[in-house]
Amino acid sequence: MVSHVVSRVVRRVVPHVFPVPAMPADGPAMIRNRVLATLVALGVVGALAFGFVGFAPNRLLSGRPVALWDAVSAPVLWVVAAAWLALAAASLAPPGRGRDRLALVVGLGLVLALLAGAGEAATRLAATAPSPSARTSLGAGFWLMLFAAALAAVDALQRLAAGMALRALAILLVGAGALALAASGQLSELSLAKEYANRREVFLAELLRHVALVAGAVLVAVAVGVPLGLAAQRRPRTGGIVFGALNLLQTIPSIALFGLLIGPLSWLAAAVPALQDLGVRGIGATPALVALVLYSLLPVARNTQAGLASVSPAVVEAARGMGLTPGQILLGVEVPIALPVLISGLRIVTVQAIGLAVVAALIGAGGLGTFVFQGLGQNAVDLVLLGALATILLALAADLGFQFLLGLTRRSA
Amino acid sequence: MIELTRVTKRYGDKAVVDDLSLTVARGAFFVLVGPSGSGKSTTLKMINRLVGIDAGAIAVDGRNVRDMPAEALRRGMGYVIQSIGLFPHWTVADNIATVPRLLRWPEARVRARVAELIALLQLDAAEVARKYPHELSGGQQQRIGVARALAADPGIVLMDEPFGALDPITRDALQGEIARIHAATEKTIVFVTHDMDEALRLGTEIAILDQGRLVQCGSPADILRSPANDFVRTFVGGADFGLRLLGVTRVRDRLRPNGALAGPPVSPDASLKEALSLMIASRRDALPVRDGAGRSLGAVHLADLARA
Ligand SMILES: Nc1ncnc2c1ncn2[C@@H]1O[C@H](COP(=O)(O)OP(=O)(O)OP(=O)(O)O)[C@@H](O)[C@H]1O
Ligand SMILES: [Mg+2]
Repeated sequence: MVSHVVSRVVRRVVPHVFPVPAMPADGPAMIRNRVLATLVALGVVGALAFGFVGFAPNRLLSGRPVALWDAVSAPVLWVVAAAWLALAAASLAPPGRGRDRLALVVGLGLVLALLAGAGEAATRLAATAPSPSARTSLGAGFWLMLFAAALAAVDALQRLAAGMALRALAILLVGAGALALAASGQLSELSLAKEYANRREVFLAELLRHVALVAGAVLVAVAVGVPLGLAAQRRPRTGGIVFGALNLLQTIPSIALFGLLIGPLSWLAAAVPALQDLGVRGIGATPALVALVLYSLLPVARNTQAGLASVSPAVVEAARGMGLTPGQILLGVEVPIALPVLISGLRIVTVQAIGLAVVAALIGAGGLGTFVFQGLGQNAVDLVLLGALATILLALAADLGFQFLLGLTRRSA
Repeated sequence: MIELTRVTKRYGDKAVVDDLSLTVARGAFFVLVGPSGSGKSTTLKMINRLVGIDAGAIAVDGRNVRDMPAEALRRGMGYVIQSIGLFPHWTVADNIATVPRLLRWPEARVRARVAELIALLQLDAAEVARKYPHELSGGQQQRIGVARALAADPGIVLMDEPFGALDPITRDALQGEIARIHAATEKTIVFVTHDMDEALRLGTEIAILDQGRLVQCGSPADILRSPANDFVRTFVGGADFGLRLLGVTRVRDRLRPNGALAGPPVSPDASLKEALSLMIASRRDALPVRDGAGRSLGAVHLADLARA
């Protein structure tokens, strides 16, 4: 099931995308940066062996691949080729900040050039098309090159040992560039953009719903999970019971859990009409929220417990011995020391909930999953992509936000 | 003054402190010594109520500690724990300022006090104050732990093996500093150690514990000269017993009023151990004794050192 795969990918992959491990720089005498060389090879294969875009007479038929050189104008083709050449040259250059800076700038530029190129291809193909319902979708070649170019930039950031500020700047620049391209209409003939344009209002509403669902679930999970973690740390026997139960919950597959909640919640809503007025139903946001909270409890409680347990007993004894009250010890000493571990837990939980919330659309909770399932129903791949891409970007943004927070707490600790 | 009256603490069936009575006079440097597990830390923690007592009573300046709010009691006593326990998320200055801030001192006074303590413990102010504990050496951390306990100028300071894990040189320096601070401020210090030499060097009064019971209590000289039983004898004895004995006796107690001698002079307040060391180093069997003003008081002879 595509949605499941998407949610899995978001949960598993996203937290690892940023810290790509830097590989040892030694290699064959000529190739000084093996990672970059591999990425260049990947990009070149993408350009030569796969369609840059797909062109179909309408949105329901699958398109025929169009090669890069047939799809874009000569200037764009030259820019893309020159960028790959520059990256290839950088992979041969001796290690140094100049080389890595070049790779960073070219990698980021290439991401934008590919986007612009895809937009241009769509516009050119649309002009030759017999009917306005013809569609240009992003091809395997585009994705491979985009992936390789983005990773080349990430690799360069890694090698430059870039701080949070430079990383954020790189992401902001690409984001702003992509937004500027979209705003200028350059991308509007792409099928993805058309799917978006057809659902502009709904998209914003579903995005906000998605965010609200995730934020609500994380807040409730913190409100319940932090005290649970605290209790588990204070009384190990309680901890055994708490973690046993939460572990069990974690093993229930998400779709099954969503389904399992329909029955009890419908019954509850029928039995207590006051709850019904609050919006509690067997389907919709309530079971989705409950399920997301249940999945989030374990990491929140576990990290709270681990964070508090990491506070040395000597520190707590010193605090008591100096006359801090139990409340002052918890809030002034234990929580601040545990904070980095706590925030790491929130990071995991938030990224996980963003992915899981896609599945929640199945039980009528709305959110970005709506597009994924509509697209699946209509066999419209670009609609699925609209939902999936937005989910991935949302997860990346959340991940980045938490990394930033973590950086702040580390600096003061 | 701190008074423990027939204090007992049990964990399960075992009395880890058993019917213990002690009096710590105001201004004393009171050292608790004993083997591992003899109840030294437990005794210290009962004074500031980190550990409750099962029987008996503890009074500080005549007031039963149970009648005081625990936090107020602790804010009025310095406490140095063996494992230092500095707050890792606070700077050195903030660590030292803990109790003054709890007592809501005005910020200017807090800052002045922190600067004063950093100078007192010979930590270079500009360099150390803004650092975090993990950026300091073990010896510096121990000093900060002591500074933090002294911050609000408490009349009583409880120290649990404060110089436990230090190299001999740093340990020696810190012992010198704490002795100097005690002499200058007349604080009452209760100090736990299992190092007999540290106890003899610092203590004005030493209590020896074994299995939760008080075995002997007295001045260093009392304990060395008349050990109460075999346990004390083996605890204070060993190969260095004779040297320790010399260490607690002053030169003025072995003074011979005979004429001017050649050789390096020794102060009447120096220990016989120091005098012996000086004799051996200068290859003489007698040394002139002169006071701080340089007046000759007589001589100290090697033959007299072995006298009882
Ligand atoms: N919280 C506790 N629960 C059970 N037993 C304890 C507890 N605290 C201390 N004890 C026991 O009480 C006895 C005395 O402990 P205490 O820490 O006072 O010894 P100590 O003289 O300070 O030893 P050391 O020199 O090793 O620090 C030990 O046998 C110890 O195992
Ligand atoms: Mg102890």
